[in-house]
Amino acid sequence: MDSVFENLYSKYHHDVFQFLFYMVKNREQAEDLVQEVYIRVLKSYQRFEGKSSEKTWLFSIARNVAIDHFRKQKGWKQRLIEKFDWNTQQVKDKNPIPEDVTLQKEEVSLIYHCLDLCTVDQKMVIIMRYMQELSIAETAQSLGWTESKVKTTQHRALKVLRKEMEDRMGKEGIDGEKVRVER
Amino acid sequence: MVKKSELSDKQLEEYLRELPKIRDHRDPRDIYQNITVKMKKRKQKAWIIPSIASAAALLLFVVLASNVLNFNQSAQDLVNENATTESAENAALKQAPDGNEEMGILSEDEPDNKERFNAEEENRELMTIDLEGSYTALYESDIAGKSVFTYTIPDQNAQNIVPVSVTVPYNDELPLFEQYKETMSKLREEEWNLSEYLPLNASLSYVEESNSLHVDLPIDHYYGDGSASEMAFMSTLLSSAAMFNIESILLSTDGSPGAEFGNMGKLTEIEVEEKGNRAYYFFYPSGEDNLPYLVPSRNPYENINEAMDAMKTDIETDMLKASIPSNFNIEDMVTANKELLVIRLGESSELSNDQSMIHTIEAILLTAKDFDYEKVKIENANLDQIGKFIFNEEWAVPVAPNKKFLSE
Repeated sequence: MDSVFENLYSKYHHDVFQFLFYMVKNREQAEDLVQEVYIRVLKSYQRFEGKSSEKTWLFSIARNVAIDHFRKQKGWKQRLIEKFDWNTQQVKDKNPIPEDVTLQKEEVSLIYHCLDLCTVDQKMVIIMRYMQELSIAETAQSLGWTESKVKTTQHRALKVLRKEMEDRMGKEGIDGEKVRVER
Repeated sequence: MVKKSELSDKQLEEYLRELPKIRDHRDPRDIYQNITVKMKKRKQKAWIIPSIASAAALLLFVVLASNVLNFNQSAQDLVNENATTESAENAALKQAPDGNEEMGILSEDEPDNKERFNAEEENRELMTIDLEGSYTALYESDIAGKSVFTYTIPDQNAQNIVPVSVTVPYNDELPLFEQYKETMSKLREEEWNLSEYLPLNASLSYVEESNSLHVDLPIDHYYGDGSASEMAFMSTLLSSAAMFNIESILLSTDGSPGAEFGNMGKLTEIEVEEKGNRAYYFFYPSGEDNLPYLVPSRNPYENINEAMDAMKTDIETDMLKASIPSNFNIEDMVTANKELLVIRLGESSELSNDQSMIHTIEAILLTAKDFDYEKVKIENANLDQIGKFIFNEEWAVPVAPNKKFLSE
């Protein structure tokens, strides 16, 4: 096996996989995409000069792969139609939770679904910041943004999540008690 | 009913952290296997498309060529037909419609031909229009009634420092330096694929009596964090100084003299050295399909011959691309008079008639300008002209590199 591959695999594979998984919420697709990340990495590894850290570099490639995937997946028409649907429909998850992913807490399960209501940018920030535990600076580097853009996007994403969570908790009557207890 | 805004950011973050960790269960060897198979497949695909394209081109050629041959054929037929009409009087009635038919074909062909000519002309026009948008630099003709400001801005990796030039309407009510400062906030660095850098996190003031630039930094400035940011900061100040012929740059921090930098230590003054004798390269922050930035090399060159030689090879470490193609063969270079550089091309030179050649010429002009030439002439080219550049004539060097437009 290629040493570059081995090295990156051992250090970051599961992080990158997890990032892609939560972006597309589909195991098979995430498996394909993570392979695509490696292909791009191996092609351009000689261009990587350690200017940024290996990790943020890898994530920036993963980000591009995810974005390309979304672009390929849908024509603009479908995207438009879906956008209108979202507003009227309940969150309907096209990609059911994989069997091996268990979401015990109702709030956690709800937030898993609500993630889909964020824009792609917001989702990326949320995953990087809270699930991969990247710092603001690392996230900014991975996304090629300024730190202030990361901060505002993060802020907006949390706002979307909060609103949607609260709406749904109210409607579906996921016990208000629990929430109140945790206050 | 649940009350609104009961979820704090903290809680949300907690839920997010509780989302299960997902792992890829596949064996790394399988993954590696998949990747190598895919990479090989793609390599194969790489030649399939060009070969289909060339097959299509060949087909097109055959179709077009046979059309032209057919046209000749029908004209020939007509002549033959006419001959028979004349010789056989009694067959005249029968022949005439035939002849007309042929005539019909011929006259149908005529507009076709004209159309083809028109199309070609249109094409040529399109070519020139296309090239119109390919100039990257600012020329004398672009700046009538305007002031030109050049800013140096680091790219998104802080690897190269890119000079970018903008024009603002001429205004004699405000000192030029103030206009220069004001314009800093109108730059759209991110849109230009550079890093958000200006205005500086410092107050700049020009003191006329001593012809000096005073730079007051806040205590928590980050221009001293790392050599890249130091370099970018110094370059920006030096290029500002150069533009206004300023003799000295004085630094202070929150009003007291001197400023702290990680590598260079405490500085109270930056020596104004004139930069020059650099070579210009192509830099593509947004992919090679877009216009390049023309970026000067980090280091100066001994003479222009060395600079031009160097411009034929990429500087990989800085992601800079060669700005002179290998088939651009310089036979010799002569300084005709102090201001004019004459470049004579070798017989084997083959200049391509496209946008990239315009950029090559611009790179040569800017490099010549950096070596204090004012005009350049290129002789013995295999083309007469490309865009607005007519060979064997003297071209004035551009006013400033990498023009950009400000939003209102």
